[in-house]
Amino acid sequence: MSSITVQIADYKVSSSPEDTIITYALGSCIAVILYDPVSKVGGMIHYMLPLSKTSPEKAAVKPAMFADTGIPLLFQEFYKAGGNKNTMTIRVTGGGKLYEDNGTFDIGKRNYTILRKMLWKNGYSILAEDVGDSKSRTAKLEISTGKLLVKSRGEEIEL
Amino acid sequence: MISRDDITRNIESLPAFSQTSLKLSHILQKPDFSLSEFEETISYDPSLVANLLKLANSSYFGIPRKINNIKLAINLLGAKRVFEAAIANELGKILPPVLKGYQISSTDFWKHCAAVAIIATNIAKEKDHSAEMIFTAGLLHDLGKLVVSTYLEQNPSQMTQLIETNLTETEVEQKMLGIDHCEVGELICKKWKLTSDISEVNRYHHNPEDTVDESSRNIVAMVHIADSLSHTMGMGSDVAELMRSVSPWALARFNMKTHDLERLASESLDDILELSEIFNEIRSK
Repeated sequence: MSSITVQIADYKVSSSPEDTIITYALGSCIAVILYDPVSKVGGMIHYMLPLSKTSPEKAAVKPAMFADTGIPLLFQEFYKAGGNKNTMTIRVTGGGKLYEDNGTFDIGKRNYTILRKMLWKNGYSILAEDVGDSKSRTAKLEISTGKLLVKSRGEEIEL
Repeated sequence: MISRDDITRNIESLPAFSQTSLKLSHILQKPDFSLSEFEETISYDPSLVANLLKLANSSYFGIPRKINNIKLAINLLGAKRVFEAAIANELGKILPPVLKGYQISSTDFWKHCAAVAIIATNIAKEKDHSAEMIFTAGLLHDLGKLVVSTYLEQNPSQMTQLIETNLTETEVEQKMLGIDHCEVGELICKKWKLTSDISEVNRYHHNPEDTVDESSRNIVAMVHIADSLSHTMGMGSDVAELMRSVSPWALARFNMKTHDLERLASESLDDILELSEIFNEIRSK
Protein backbone atom coordinates (compact mmCIF):
# COMPACT_ATOMS: atom_id res chain seq x y z
CA MET A 1 0.00 0.00 0.00
CA SER A 2 1.41 3.38 -0.86
CA SER A 3 0.55 6.62 0.84
CA ILE A 4 0.32 9.86 -1.13
CA THR A 5 0.62 13.02 0.96
CA VAL A 6 -1.15 16.19 -0.12
CA GLN A 7 0.96 19.12 1.10
CA ILE A 8 -0.62 22.45 1.98
CA ALA A 9 -1.56 24.31 -1.22
CA ASP A 10 -1.52 21.14 -3.32
CA TYR A 11 -3.84 18.44 -4.68
CA LYS A 12 -3.53 14.78 -5.69
CA VAL A 13 -5.67 12.39 -7.73
CA SER A 14 -5.29 8.60 -7.91
CA SER A 15 -6.97 5.61 -9.49
CA SER A 16 -4.63 2.98 -8.04
CA PRO A 17 -6.51 0.75 -5.58
CA GLU A 18 -3.42 0.32 -3.38
CA ASP A 19 -3.15 4.09 -2.74
CA THR A 20 -4.18 6.13 0.27
CA ILE A 21 -4.34 9.91 -0.07
CA ILE A 22 -3.63 11.75 3.17
CA THR A 23 -3.31 15.35 4.35
CA TYR A 24 -2.23 16.64 7.77
CA ALA A 25 -2.95 19.60 10.08
CA LEU A 26 -5.67 21.39 8.17
CA GLY A 27 -6.21 24.23 10.67
CA SER A 28 -8.42 26.75 8.88
CA CYS A 29 -7.46 25.21 5.52
CA ILE A 30 -10.02 23.00 3.80
CA ALA A 31 -9.73 19.57 2.22
CA VAL A 32 -12.23 18.74 -0.53
CA ILE A 33 -12.38 15.02 -1.25
CA LEU A 34 -13.82 13.66 -4.51
CA TYR A 35 -14.54 9.96 -4.97
CA ASP A 36 -16.26 7.93 -7.65
CA PRO A 37 -17.30 4.50 -6.29
CA VAL A 38 -17.84 3.14 -9.82
CA SER A 39 -14.52 3.98 -11.47
CA LYS A 40 -12.73 4.03 -8.07
CA VAL A 41 -11.01 7.33 -8.70
CA GLY A 42 -10.29 9.63 -5.77
CA GLY A 43 -8.87 13.13 -5.36
CA MET A 44 -8.07 15.57 -2.58
CA ILE A 45 -7.06 19.24 -2.38
CA HIS A 46 -5.67 21.07 0.68
CA TYR A 47 -6.22 24.77 0.00
CA MET A 48 -5.29 27.55 2.39
CA LEU A 49 -7.18 30.68 1.35
CA PRO A 50 -10.42 31.64 -0.42
CA LEU A 51 -9.46 33.99 -3.23
CA SER A 52 -6.50 34.21 -5.62
CA LYS A 53 -6.83 37.98 -5.86
CA THR A 54 -5.00 38.01 -2.49
CA SER A 55 -1.81 37.20 -4.42
CA PRO A 56 -2.16 36.61 -8.18
CA GLU A 57 1.63 35.99 -8.35
CA LYS A 58 1.44 33.09 -5.87
CA ALA A 59 -1.71 31.77 -7.57
CA ALA A 60 0.16 31.60 -10.89
CA VAL A 61 2.79 29.29 -9.36
CA LYS A 62 0.70 27.47 -6.72
CA PRO A 63 -2.95 27.61 -7.83
CA ALA A 64 -4.00 25.09 -5.17
CA MET A 65 -3.22 27.67 -2.48
CA PHE A 66 -6.61 29.25 -3.23
CA ALA A 67 -10.13 27.85 -3.50
CA ASP A 68 -11.05 29.71 -6.68
CA THR A 69 -7.98 28.61 -8.67
CA GLY A 70 -7.37 25.21 -7.03
CA ILE A 71 -10.77 23.52 -6.87
CA PRO A 72 -11.39 23.65 -10.67
CA LEU A 73 -7.99 21.99 -11.19
CA LEU A 74 -8.90 19.18 -8.79
CA PHE A 75 -12.13 18.52 -10.69
CA GLN A 76 -10.35 18.59 -14.07
CA GLU A 77 -7.71 16.08 -12.93
CA PHE A 78 -10.38 13.89 -11.36
CA TYR A 79 -12.37 13.71 -14.60
CA LYS A 80 -9.19 13.16 -16.61
CA ALA A 81 -8.38 10.14 -14.40
CA GLY A 82 -11.80 8.63 -15.12
CA GLY A 83 -14.02 10.12 -12.40
CA ASN A 84 -17.66 10.53 -13.43
CA LYS A 85 -19.79 13.52 -12.48
CA ASN A 86 -22.98 11.43 -12.17
CA THR A 87 -21.62 8.87 -9.71
CA MET A 88 -19.07 10.95 -7.76
CA THR A 89 -19.36 12.17 -4.16
CA ILE A 90 -17.97 15.31 -2.56
CA ARG A 91 -16.87 15.37 1.08
CA VAL A 92 -15.38 18.32 2.96
CA THR A 93 -13.34 18.75 6.12
CA GLY A 94 -11.21 21.41 7.87
CA GLY A 95 -12.08 25.08 8.16
CA GLY A 96 -11.23 25.25 11.87
CA LYS A 97 -10.93 28.45 13.84
CA LEU A 98 -9.08 29.86 16.81
CA TYR A 99 -10.99 29.40 20.06
CA GLU A 100 -11.27 33.06 21.03
CA ASP A 101 -11.11 35.65 18.30
CA ASN A 102 -13.22 38.61 17.22
CA GLY A 103 -13.61 37.05 13.76
CA THR A 104 -10.47 38.55 12.18
CA PHE A 105 -8.80 35.13 12.03
CA ASP A 106 -11.84 33.24 10.80
CA ILE A 107 -10.29 32.35 7.46
CA GLY A 108 -11.83 28.89 7.85
CA LYS A 109 -15.34 30.28 7.51
CA ARG A 110 -14.35 32.30 4.45
CA ASN A 111 -12.74 29.19 2.96
CA TYR A 112 -15.97 27.28 3.50
CA THR A 113 -18.29 30.02 2.17
CA ILE A 114 -16.46 30.31 -1.15
CA LEU A 115 -16.51 26.53 -1.56
CA ARG A 116 -20.28 26.39 -1.02
CA LYS A 117 -20.76 29.16 -3.56
CA MET A 118 -18.58 27.49 -6.17
CA LEU A 119 -20.27 24.10 -5.77
CA TRP A 120 -23.78 25.58 -5.78
CA LYS A 121 -23.07 27.60 -8.92
CA ASN A 122 -21.98 24.44 -10.74
CA GLY A 123 -24.79 22.25 -9.46
CA TYR A 124 -22.80 20.05 -7.06
CA SER A 125 -23.80 19.08 -3.53
CA ILE A 126 -21.80 17.95 -0.51
CA LEU A 127 -22.41 14.38 0.67
CA ALA A 128 -20.81 14.73 4.12
CA GLU A 129 -18.72 17.23 6.02
CA ASP A 130 -16.88 17.83 9.28
CA VAL A 131 -15.94 21.52 9.38
CA GLY A 132 -15.45 24.40 11.81
CA ASP A 133 -14.76 24.35 15.59
CA SER A 134 -11.36 24.83 17.18
CA LYS A 135 -10.04 21.61 15.70
CA SER A 136 -7.16 20.91 13.37
CA ARG A 137 -7.86 17.82 11.32
CA THR A 138 -6.08 15.12 9.34
CA ALA A 139 -7.94 13.41 6.46
CA LYS A 140 -7.21 10.00 4.91
CA LEU A 141 -8.92 8.55 1.81
CA GLU A 142 -8.65 4.89 0.76
CA ILE A 143 -8.86 4.65 -3.02
CA SER A 144 -10.01 1.01 -3.14
CA THR A 145 -13.05 1.60 -0.89
CA GLY A 146 -13.63 5.37 -0.77
CA LYS A 147 -13.46 5.19 3.01
CA LEU A 148 -12.61 8.64 4.44
CA LEU A 149 -11.24 8.98 7.96
CA VAL A 150 -10.96 12.36 9.69
CA LYS A 151 -8.82 12.56 12.81
CA SER A 152 -8.63 15.35 15.37
CA ARG A 153 -7.39 15.45 19.00
CA GLY A 154 -6.80 11.71 18.88
CA GLU A 155 -10.37 10.92 17.83
CA GLU A 156 -11.14 9.40 14.44
CA ILE A 157 -14.47 9.55 12.63
CA GLU A 158 -15.59 8.14 9.29
CA LEU A 159 -17.08 10.68 6.93
CA MET B 1 2.27 16.03 42.54
CA ILE B 2 4.43 18.25 40.40
CA SER B 3 5.19 21.65 41.85
CA ARG B 4 6.27 24.94 40.33
CA ASP B 5 9.56 24.56 42.21
CA ASP B 6 10.31 21.20 40.53
CA ILE B 7 9.91 22.88 37.19
CA THR B 8 12.00 25.93 37.96
CA ARG B 9 14.72 23.64 39.34
CA ASN B 10 14.62 21.65 36.10
CA ILE B 11 15.37 24.85 34.14
CA GLU B 12 18.63 25.15 36.06
CA SER B 13 19.71 21.76 34.76
CA LEU B 14 19.09 22.60 31.08
CA PRO B 15 22.14 22.37 28.83
CA ALA B 16 23.77 25.66 27.84
CA PHE B 17 22.76 27.50 24.69
CA SER B 18 25.91 28.01 22.62
CA GLN B 19 24.86 31.48 21.48
CA THR B 20 26.79 31.29 18.20
CA SER B 21 23.57 32.16 16.40
CA LEU B 22 23.05 35.25 18.55
CA LYS B 23 26.61 36.40 17.87
CA LEU B 24 25.96 35.90 14.15
CA SER B 25 22.74 37.88 14.39
CA HIS B 26 24.69 40.69 16.05
CA ILE B 27 27.30 40.66 13.25
CA LEU B 28 24.56 40.59 10.58
CA GLN B 29 23.11 43.82 11.94
CA LYS B 30 26.33 45.77 11.54
CA PRO B 31 26.23 47.91 8.40
CA ASP B 32 29.79 46.88 7.43
CA PHE B 33 29.70 43.18 8.34
CA SER B 34 31.97 40.75 6.51
CA LEU B 35 31.73 37.05 5.85
CA SER B 36 35.20 36.58 7.34
CA GLU B 37 33.85 37.78 10.68
CA PHE B 38 31.09 35.22 10.28
CA GLU B 39 33.61 32.53 9.52
CA GLU B 40 35.66 33.27 12.61
CA THR B 41 32.63 33.08 14.92
CA ILE B 42 31.49 29.82 13.33
CA SER B 43 34.92 28.23 13.54
CA TYR B 44 34.59 28.11 17.36
CA ASP B 45 31.50 25.91 17.07
CA PRO B 46 32.47 22.50 15.66
CA SER B 47 28.91 21.12 15.57
CA LEU B 48 27.81 24.09 13.48
CA VAL B 49 30.78 23.70 11.12
CA ALA B 50 29.83 20.06 10.59
CA ASN B 51 26.18 20.90 10.00
CA LEU B 52 26.90 23.76 7.58
CA LEU B 53 29.05 21.40 5.48
CA LYS B 54 26.27 18.83 5.61
CA LEU B 55 23.73 21.42 4.53
CA ALA B 56 25.91 22.75 1.72
CA ASN B 57 26.33 19.19 0.43
CA SER B 58 22.68 18.21 0.85
CA SER B 59 20.49 17.38 -2.09
CA TYR B 60 18.44 20.42 -1.09
CA PHE B 61 21.06 22.72 -2.60
CA GLY B 62 22.01 20.31 -5.35
CA ILE B 63 25.65 21.37 -5.71
CA PRO B 64 27.42 18.80 -7.92
CA ARG B 65 30.88 19.09 -6.38
CA LYS B 66 31.86 18.28 -2.82
CA ILE B 67 32.05 21.31 -0.51
CA ASN B 68 34.66 20.54 2.13
CA ASN B 69 35.71 23.87 3.55
CA ILE B 70 33.66 26.18 5.68
CA LYS B 71 34.52 29.38 3.81
CA LEU B 72 33.10 27.92 0.61
CA ALA B 73 30.02 26.68 2.44
CA ILE B 74 29.37 30.13 3.92
CA ASN B 75 29.76 31.79 0.54
CA LEU B 76 27.44 29.30 -1.05
CA LEU B 77 24.70 29.44 1.58
CA GLY B 78 24.86 33.18 2.23
CA ALA B 79 24.81 34.95 5.58
CA LYS B 80 21.05 34.62 6.15
CA ARG B 81 20.92 30.84 5.62
CA VAL B 82 24.03 30.34 7.76
CA PHE B 83 22.38 32.24 10.58
CA GLU B 84 19.16 30.20 10.25
CA ALA B 85 21.18 26.99 10.22
CA ALA B 86 22.99 28.13 13.39
CA ILE B 87 19.71 28.48 15.30
CA ALA B 88 18.43 25.18 13.89
CA ASN B 89 21.68 23.57 15.03
CA GLU B 90 21.36 24.95 18.56
CA LEU B 91 17.70 24.05 18.97
CA GLY B 92 18.33 20.68 17.33
CA LYS B 93 20.72 19.81 20.15
CA ILE B 94 18.12 20.32 22.87
CA LEU B 95 14.93 19.19 21.13
CA PRO B 96 13.85 15.59 21.72
CA PRO B 97 12.51 13.77 18.60
CA VAL B 98 8.98 14.18 19.98
CA LEU B 99 7.65 16.73 22.50
CA LYS B 100 5.40 14.13 24.06
CA GLY B 101 3.47 16.47 26.36
CA TYR B 102 2.24 18.45 23.37
CA GLN B 103 2.09 15.41 21.05
CA ILE B 104 4.18 17.13 18.41
CA SER B 105 7.30 15.95 16.58
CA SER B 106 10.41 18.15 16.68
CA THR B 107 10.05 18.58 12.90
CA ASP B 108 6.55 20.05 13.29
CA PHE B 109 7.62 22.09 16.31
CA TRP B 110 10.43 23.62 14.26
CA LYS B 111 8.01 24.22 11.38
CA HIS B 112 5.79 26.18 13.76
CA CYS B 113 8.75 28.23 15.04
CA ALA B 114 9.84 28.88 11.44
CA ALA B 115 6.32 30.01 10.53
CA VAL B 116 6.18 32.44 13.46
CA ALA B 117 9.63 33.88 12.64
CA ILE B 118 8.85 34.41 8.97
CA ILE B 119 5.34 35.81 9.42
CA ALA B 120 6.46 38.14 12.23
CA THR B 121 9.32 39.43 10.07
CA ASN B 122 6.89 40.03 7.20
CA ILE B 123 4.52 41.94 9.51
CA ALA B 124 7.42 44.14 10.64
CA LYS B 125 8.39 44.80 7.01
CA GLU B 126 4.84 45.63 5.96
CA LYS B 127 4.10 47.83 8.91
CA ASP B 128 7.45 49.53 8.56
CA HIS B 129 8.62 48.71 12.06
CA SER B 130 12.28 48.20 12.52
CA ALA B 131 12.59 45.16 14.72
CA GLU B 132 16.03 43.69 14.42
CA MET B 133 15.56 40.74 16.71
CA ILE B 134 12.12 39.76 15.44
CA PHE B 135 13.20 36.78 13.34
CA THR B 136 15.25 35.27 16.18
CA ALA B 137 12.60 36.09 18.78
CA GLY B 138 9.97 34.42 16.58
CA LEU B 139 12.05 31.26 16.20
CA LEU B 140 12.66 31.11 19.95
CA HIS B 141 9.21 32.19 21.21
CA ASP B 142 8.16 28.79 22.60
CA LEU B 143 11.29 27.82 24.57
CA GLY B 144 9.15 27.12 27.64
CA LYS B 145 7.53 24.17 25.87
CA LEU B 146 10.85 22.30 25.90
CA VAL B 147 10.65 22.03 29.68
CA VAL B 148 6.87 22.07 30.23
CA SER B 149 6.37 19.18 27.78
CA THR B 150 8.10 16.66 30.05
CA TYR B 151 5.71 17.51 32.90
CA LEU B 152 2.52 17.47 30.80
CA GLU B 153 3.65 14.11 29.48
CA GLN B 154 3.21 12.56 32.92
CA ASN B 155 -0.57 12.99 32.65
CA PRO B 156 -1.62 12.95 29.00
CA SER B 157 -5.27 12.03 29.64
CA GLN B 158 -5.76 15.00 31.99
CA MET B 159 -4.33 17.28 29.29
CA THR B 160 -6.79 16.01 26.65
CA GLN B 161 -9.72 16.17 29.09
CA LEU B 162 -8.97 19.76 30.05
CA ILE B 163 -8.75 20.84 26.41
CA GLU B 164 -12.17 19.27 25.85
CA THR B 165 -13.57 21.53 28.58
CA ASN B 166 -12.69 24.53 26.37
CA LEU B 167 -9.67 25.78 28.26
CA THR B 168 -6.90 27.44 26.27
CA GLU B 169 -3.44 25.89 26.11
CA THR B 170 -1.93 28.19 28.73
CA GLU B 171 -4.94 27.72 31.05
CA VAL B 172 -4.49 23.95 30.85
CA GLU B 173 -0.79 24.30 31.73
CA GLN B 174 -1.63 26.57 34.67
CA LYS B 175 -4.25 24.15 35.95
CA MET B 176 -2.02 21.10 35.67
CA LEU B 177 1.31 22.58 36.77
CA GLY B 178 0.67 25.97 38.35
CA ILE B 179 2.90 27.55 35.71
CA ASP B 180 2.66 27.94 31.92
CA HIS B 181 5.16 27.70 29.05
CA CYS B 182 5.34 31.51 28.82
CA GLU B 183 6.61 31.97 32.36
CA VAL B 184 8.96 29.00 31.99
CA GLY B 185 10.18 30.44 28.68
CA GLU B 186 11.10 33.69 30.38
CA LEU B 187 13.07 31.83 33.05
CA ILE B 188 14.95 29.91 30.34
CA CYS B 189 15.78 33.19 28.57
CA LYS B 190 17.17 34.58 31.85
CA LYS B 191 19.26 31.45 32.39
CA TRP B 192 20.63 31.60 28.87
CA LYS B 193 21.12 35.38 29.09
CA LEU B 194 19.12 36.00 25.92
CA THR B 195 18.16 39.59 25.06
CA SER B 196 15.26 41.39 26.71
CA ASP B 197 13.19 41.28 23.48
CA ILE B 198 13.44 37.48 23.28
CA SER B 199 12.64 37.15 26.97
CA GLU B 200 9.57 39.45 26.75
CA VAL B 201 8.35 37.58 23.64
CA ASN B 202 8.56 34.29 25.54
CA ARG B 203 6.74 35.71 28.56
CA TYR B 204 3.95 37.65 26.86
CA HIS B 205 3.29 36.15 23.41
CA HIS B 206 -0.10 34.86 24.61
CA ASN B 207 -1.09 38.14 26.32
CA PRO B 208 0.91 40.85 24.54
CA GLU B 209 -0.97 43.75 26.13
CA ASP B 210 0.65 42.88 29.48
CA THR B 211 4.23 43.30 28.18
CA VAL B 212 6.22 45.08 30.88
CA ASP B 213 9.17 46.42 28.89
CA GLU B 214 7.68 49.26 26.83
CA SER B 215 10.37 48.96 24.13
CA SER B 216 9.37 45.32 23.48
CA ARG B 217 5.63 45.90 23.05
CA ASN B 218 5.69 46.05 19.23
CA ILE B 219 7.80 42.94 18.80
CA VAL B 220 5.67 40.95 21.27
CA ALA B 221 2.45 42.03 19.54
CA MET B 222 3.81 41.07 16.11
CA VAL B 223 4.95 37.64 17.36
CA HIS B 224 1.52 37.13 18.94
CA ILE B 225 -0.22 37.81 15.61
CA ALA B 226 2.26 35.59 13.77
CA ASP B 227 1.77 32.79 16.33
CA SER B 228 -2.03 32.97 15.94
CA LEU B 229 -1.81 33.02 12.15
CA SER B 230 0.62 30.10 11.96
CA HIS B 231 -1.70 27.95 14.10
CA THR B 232 -4.60 29.01 11.88
CA MET B 233 -2.60 27.83 8.86
CA GLY B 234 -2.02 24.45 10.51
CA MET B 235 1.70 25.08 10.93
CA GLY B 236 2.76 22.98 13.90
CA SER B 237 -0.52 21.66 15.06
CA ASP B 238 -0.09 20.18 18.55
CA VAL B 239 -2.51 18.67 21.05
CA ALA B 240 -3.97 22.07 21.98
CA GLU B 241 -4.31 22.89 18.29
CA LEU B 242 -6.48 25.98 17.90
CA MET B 243 -7.31 26.44 21.60
CA ARG B 244 -5.89 29.93 21.97
CA SER B 245 -7.20 33.48 22.15
CA VAL B 246 -6.27 36.40 19.95
CA SER B 247 -5.55 39.76 21.57
CA PRO B 248 -7.77 42.51 20.08
CA TRP B 249 -5.20 44.96 21.46
CA ALA B 250 -2.45 43.52 19.23
CA LEU B 251 -4.67 43.52 16.14
CA ALA B 252 -5.65 47.13 16.76
CA ARG B 253 -2.05 48.19 17.34
CA PHE B 254 -1.14 47.16 13.79
CA ASN B 255 -4.57 47.69 12.27
CA MET B 256 -4.69 44.04 11.19
CA LYS B 257 -7.68 43.00 9.09
CA THR B 258 -8.59 39.61 7.66
CA HIS B 259 -7.28 40.50 4.20
CA ASP B 260 -3.91 41.52 5.75
CA LEU B 261 -3.71 38.09 7.40
CA GLU B 262 -4.59 36.30 4.18
CA ARG B 263 -1.94 38.21 2.26
CA LEU B 264 0.66 37.45 4.96
CA ALA B 265 -0.24 33.76 4.83
CA SER B 266 0.07 33.55 1.05
CA GLU B 267 3.32 35.47 0.94
CA SER B 268 4.96 33.58 3.80
CA LEU B 269 4.13 29.97 2.90
CA ASP B 270 7.04 29.20 0.53
CA ASP B 271 9.64 30.66 2.90
CA ILE B 272 8.17 28.69 5.81
CA LEU B 273 8.41 25.40 3.90
CA GLU B 274 11.99 26.19 2.87
CA LEU B 275 13.10 27.03 6.38
CA SER B 276 11.43 23.84 7.65
CA GLU B 277 13.60 21.86 5.23
CA ILE B 278 16.82 23.37 6.65
CA PHE B 279 16.06 21.77 10.00
CA ASN B 280 15.22 18.43 8.41
CA GLU B 281 18.52 18.44 6.52
CA ILE B 282 20.47 19.22 9.68
CA ARG B 283 18.59 16.60 11.66
CA SER B 284 18.98 13.88 9.02
CA LYS B 285 21.68 11.31 9.64
